[in-house]
Amino acid sequence: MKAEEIAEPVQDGAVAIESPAAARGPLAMQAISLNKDFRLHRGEVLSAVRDVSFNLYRGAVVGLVGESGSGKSTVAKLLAGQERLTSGEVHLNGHPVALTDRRAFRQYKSEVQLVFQDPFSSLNPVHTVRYHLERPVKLHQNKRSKAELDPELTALMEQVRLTPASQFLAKFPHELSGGQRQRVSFARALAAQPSVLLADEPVSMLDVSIRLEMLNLLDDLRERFHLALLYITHDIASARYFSDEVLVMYAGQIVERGPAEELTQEPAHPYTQLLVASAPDPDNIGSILRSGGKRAARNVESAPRVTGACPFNPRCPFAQDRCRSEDPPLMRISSARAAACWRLDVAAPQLFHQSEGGVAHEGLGGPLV
Amino acid sequence: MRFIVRRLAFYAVAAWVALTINFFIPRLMPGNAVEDIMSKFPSLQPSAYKALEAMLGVGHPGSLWHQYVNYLYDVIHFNFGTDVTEYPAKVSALLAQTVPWTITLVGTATIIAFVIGTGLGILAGWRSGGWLDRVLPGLTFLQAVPYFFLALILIELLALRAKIFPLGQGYAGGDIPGWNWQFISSAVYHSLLPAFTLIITNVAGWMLTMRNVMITTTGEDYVLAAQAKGLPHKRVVLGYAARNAILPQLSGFANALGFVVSGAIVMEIVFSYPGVGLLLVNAVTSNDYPLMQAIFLVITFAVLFANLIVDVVYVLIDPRARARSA
Amino acid sequence: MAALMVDTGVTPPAEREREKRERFGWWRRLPPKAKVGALLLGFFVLIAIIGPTLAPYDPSYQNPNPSLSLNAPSAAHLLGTTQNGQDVLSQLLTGVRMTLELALFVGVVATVIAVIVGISAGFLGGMWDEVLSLLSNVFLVLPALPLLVVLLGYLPQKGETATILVLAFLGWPWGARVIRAQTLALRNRDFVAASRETGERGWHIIMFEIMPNEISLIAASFVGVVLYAIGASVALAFIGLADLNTWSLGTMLYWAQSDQALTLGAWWWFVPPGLLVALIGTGLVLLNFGIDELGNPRLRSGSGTIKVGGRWWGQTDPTPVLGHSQRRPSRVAAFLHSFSREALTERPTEVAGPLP
Repeated sequence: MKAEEIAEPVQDGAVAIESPAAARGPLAMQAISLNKDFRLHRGEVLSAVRDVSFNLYRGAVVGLVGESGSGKSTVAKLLAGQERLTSGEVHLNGHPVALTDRRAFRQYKSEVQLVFQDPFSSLNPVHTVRYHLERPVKLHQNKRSKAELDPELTALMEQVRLTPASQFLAKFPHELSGGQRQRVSFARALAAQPSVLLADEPVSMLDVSIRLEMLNLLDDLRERFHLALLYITHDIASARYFSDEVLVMYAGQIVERGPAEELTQEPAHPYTQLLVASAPDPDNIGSILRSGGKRAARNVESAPRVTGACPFNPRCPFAQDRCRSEDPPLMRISSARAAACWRLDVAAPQLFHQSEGGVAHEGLGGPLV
Repeated sequence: MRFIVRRLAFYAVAAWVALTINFFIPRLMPGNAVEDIMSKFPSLQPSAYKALEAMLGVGHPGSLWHQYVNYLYDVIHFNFGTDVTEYPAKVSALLAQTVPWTITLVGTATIIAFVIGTGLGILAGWRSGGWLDRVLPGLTFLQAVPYFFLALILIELLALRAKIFPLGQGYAGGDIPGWNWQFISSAVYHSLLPAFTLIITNVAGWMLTMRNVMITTTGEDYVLAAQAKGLPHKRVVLGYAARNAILPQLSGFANALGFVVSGAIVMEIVFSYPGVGLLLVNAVTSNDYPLMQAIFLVITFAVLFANLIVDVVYVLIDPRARARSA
Repeated sequence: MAALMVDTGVTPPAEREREKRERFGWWRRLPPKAKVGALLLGFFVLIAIIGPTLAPYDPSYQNPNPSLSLNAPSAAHLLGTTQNGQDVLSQLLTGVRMTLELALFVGVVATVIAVIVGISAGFLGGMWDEVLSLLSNVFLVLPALPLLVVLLGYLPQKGETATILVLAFLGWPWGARVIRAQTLALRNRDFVAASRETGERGWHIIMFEIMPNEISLIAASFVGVVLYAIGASVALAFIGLADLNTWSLGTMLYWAQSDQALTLGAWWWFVPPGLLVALIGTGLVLLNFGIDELGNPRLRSGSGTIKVGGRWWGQTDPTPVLGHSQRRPSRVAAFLHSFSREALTERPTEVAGPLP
């Protein structure tokens, strides 16, 4: 039996998979088969994002997990309108998005905001916090006069818990700590009153001790404003804590997706397994080692990306010939989970015990490579 | 090689811009230049007038494009026309007389100033906070003094009062130019004070820039590694820091070549030295347009050429550039 | 959600006191070089403003009395007289204004051009960048003085406006290159992308996000152009390519030279203008050093250099074994020391008395 018989290829992108996020609220944004190619100096083409599809629902958090270079930041920029799609579509509230002119872009920005990763460079050092917040309020909420602005600014500061507001509004970025600056970034994004918030590694550059606090703040904001949140991170543990659904990206493609808890408890794709095993978890120390499962090789020198093969195959302990010659599509494992791997039966055998009424798998795949 | 070719193309563009400026300026200037000249030099022949008119674009001698093409043609053939002040001498002959003087004196003085200044700069960057830092404000002042001012004062002191050096000119009045010892020794003697003034005013600048580059270079990690290896300080400074610092210093040298020429012009005026600069200024004051244009072109091309040479040297010295341009 | 509390806007007295000290603290924090430069320049600007009114005589007035020609400094003429019996001091006081005025105008025009070209090239990138950079580089490589000489040579009258334009025409490329480099670096910073996120237009980003971060660079570039303008205008005037009917430091030197001042021993005619030019130039250079050092911490003292055992050790040098104690420096030494690099980042010792 081939892998497709265990898991069906996902035909229609996001639609065929149930997302646990859908339970939270209405559909806010759809990413459909996003592709982004960059042309490099010597004529080479870098496929940063390949065929990425998912949905964002209001009030829900979707976690996008990947290492540096996986393309996750590019996805954020594509959704934010900062980069142009090579192909694919983005739908907002059911309508396809076409950023043809400045007005369309401005309106789009009133709905979709991106929060940057680096609190130290995302604020202009010569402007006060007040200026940073006034601009989006003026542009998106159309409030001009001081009487209208002040209460709004104070409200924003209170929402991100930077009080007393008047004191913080007068400060310059270099007078604030990293956490405070990131709060200002949140406030700035909120000032546009968006329905979708794209958070590109919002806590990665903060001290570990305050990360939890910041994530809780984000959660609070999500609930208060019913935001559709895309949480991009390299840390699968925080994605598990924070998200409803997790998508794992590798080399520009989504290699696994599913509900946060399930996916991290029983990862199907070898790359996800590597991520989970690498994440420090006091409950789980040594469990993978004890189970005797194979771990992926350490990061091999990245060979030039070959299309037509599974991108993870140089590092994969389960790789076979088929992996080197055919790129696996996302295949459905259950109603809410999918993974892109030819060797799912070997990589995550425990997931397929109950499928097809207990069909025997002898002769399948042969010995573990 | 590709780098050199690119630089060549760039200089070609710059040369073209200079040529075009040279072409258009006389045509844009207010007033009728030809009449001015005619009134000043009534002894010129009609053919000279015609040539001038053609050069200045007066009297509609054909379409602008036509004139432009003729102009370029002339330049390429070094045909700069006949001079006005020293009619009927040809401009190119005048140039041939004066260019060697300028090149020998200014070229030598500049190179000497560069070498000394760079050496002093290395010394200044040798140790952090050395004695040269104390001298810094004084050096700044020296740099800000206008060249001719310093030169005239030195002439006053050393030539007039102390009579160590001659007052000016390229050579003693009675000597006959030629390859004889009398002439050559006289020429050298007359070039000492001008060279000295040039060197003094330029050294400070080279020293300061070299010092700054040395500071940046000694902050690099590979210098720290060399120190950690236990290499003697002299070896670290010369073999590691200075060798790398020389590169940006060379670029600075290329950039400064234009100013070297400016200094040369002023120097020749002060010392009445028979070089290209003096010729240019005399041409300007007497409104000798053909000569002015020709000198400007020659000077510009010389500077571009010198820049090209520095580019070549840079490529030869910098192994990274060599690899890139291979 | 409206705020429940309204800020009264009254700052407590302690806050106000601190704020006042902060506002003037920037003067104290300037490097000593910049202070000296600023004071020098301030002095000359003052002279430029009130000089002509202070002048005891009309600088152009030629005294027909032959005994008053080429007089050494005396009570009546503090800086002596020229060949034509003109008062040198009056010429000097009038000349400073002319020279500075010209240089300032050139500075403004050239800097405006440099900012426009530099920021456009850096921000717009692509073809614009290539074209503008090529233009700047071409003008940078062409030798300045010959071109200035030729340009002015063709003009029948060499008036002030023409000189300003010609000097500015050649003075902008330097600044444009530097500003372009800075703009390129800033363009990729997150806060520029963030302001795009907010929905700002390109115009606004350039004027209010990028340019405010380049102020010190623009200031340094302006000072540099003024320096160049002074040097060039004086040199051109000395050659004779200026309006010789007006009094500037350069024309003074021209007349002094053509009337053989130095040969005739009339140093009072020749030395003061040149000296003033040098002093103005020094002031400008020092000011620029100061602005540079504020921006580039590397050029300040290798922070933490100390002198032990007769040698200077930097932070990256191996740790010296301390042999003997340091001696306290005398006041003169301390003053001279303030010119050196280390003084900038050393901990300031307690200073008694009023702050400067």
